[in-house]
Amino acid sequence: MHEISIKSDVLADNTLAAHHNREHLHEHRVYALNLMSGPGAGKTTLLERTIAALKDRYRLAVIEGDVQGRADAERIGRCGVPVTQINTGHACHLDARLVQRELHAFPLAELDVLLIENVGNLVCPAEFDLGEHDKAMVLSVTEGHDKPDKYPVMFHVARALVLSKLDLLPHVDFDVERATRAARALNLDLEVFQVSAKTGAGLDAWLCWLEGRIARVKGG
Amino acid sequence: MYQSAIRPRGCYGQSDPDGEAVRAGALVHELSLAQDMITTLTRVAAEHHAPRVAAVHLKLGEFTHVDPETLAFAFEVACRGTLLEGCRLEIERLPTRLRCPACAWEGSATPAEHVCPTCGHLGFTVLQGREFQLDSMDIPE
Ligand SMILES: Nc1nc2c(ncn2[C@@H]2O[C@H](COP(=O)(O)OP(=O)(O)OP(=O)(O)O)[C@@H](O)[C@H]2O)c(=O)[nH]1
Ligand SMILES: [Mg+2]
Ligand SMILES: [Zn+2]
Repeated sequence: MHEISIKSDVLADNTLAAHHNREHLHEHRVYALNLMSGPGAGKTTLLERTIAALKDRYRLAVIEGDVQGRADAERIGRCGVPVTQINTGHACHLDARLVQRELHAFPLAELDVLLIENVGNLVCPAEFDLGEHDKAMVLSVTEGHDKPDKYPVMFHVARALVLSKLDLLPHVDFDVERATRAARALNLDLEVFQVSAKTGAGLDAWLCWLEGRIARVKGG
Repeated sequence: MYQSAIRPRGCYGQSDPDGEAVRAGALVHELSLAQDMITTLTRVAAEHHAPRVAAVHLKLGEFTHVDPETLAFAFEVACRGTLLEGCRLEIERLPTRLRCPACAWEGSATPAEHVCPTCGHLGFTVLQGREFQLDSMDIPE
């Protein structure tokens, strides 16, 4: 028997495609955010709020990832920014190759910010780099404060965590302090925001962080 | 009710009561990872003019959401009809290793209260556990 050394990451092709995406974004100084969460945590609603607040100052576009359907893309379309829908079919996450196809079709030179809504899933999206600048996670208070303990990888790879639907806090047993501590345990630099997209509470801090991140890329 | 094909959450690692549906969805995901493995393995085997592969060695960290059993099954299925058919997949599991940046405590799991058991610091560095790497293959002489 003869042993051949390989030493190659299984996700190497995805990493390569992500690197390619990053170069495209860098060339046009477009900031990209990958928004991830379990199903229904409030990604699209947060995007709608974010777009409304920022669209007069930045040229925004959105990529919507869903297993099927165009519902989220239609919601974003009504916000008046360009949007494209990726349907993953059976796959439970976006990968860099899927995003690459869309990037090649986007007029990147006419954009400042690309917001990517990943497929609603607390597991798989964590493993797939898209070439984005930052990953942000949304965790709604209705999902329970034990989620960072149960799905630690997602919380480990995110740069920001938005605790969402804070207006529902009086109705659920969600320990904000515990969720924050659990998420930070495996992510020393995690920024945590408490937001209600419904009432608008806490949005300013989130937007302020996001604008800071955009500025790093735009050099503004 | 059987509804796996349209389940957005049909994916490995998801806690979901109807196991059958999850496994069907899970396989779709692991299958794509297995296919990525086979692409690399086939290329390497061709470079070495290997007509057959006896064994594949994979390193898989425990701090990933890749399930070794599902992956092994998906890999076996995906190998059929390729030069890898019938090869042995050996998965080396690398346990999660965490370290406290303040006092250098090391452990394999986040303590229940999320702070370092020796110094109380919040936040650990992940030293090991994120690996998902094709390490080597054995080919017959
Ligand atoms: N009370 C309350 N409801 C909210 C808030 N944000 C979102 N929701 C509701 O939660 C539900 C899901 O919101 P979406 O924004 O569609 O969630 P999503 O993460 O985009 O969902 P998927 O894309 O399907 O994974 C909708 O009924 C929203 O109206 C909030 O801040 N407060
Ligand atoms: Mg959505
Ligand atoms: Zn310590």
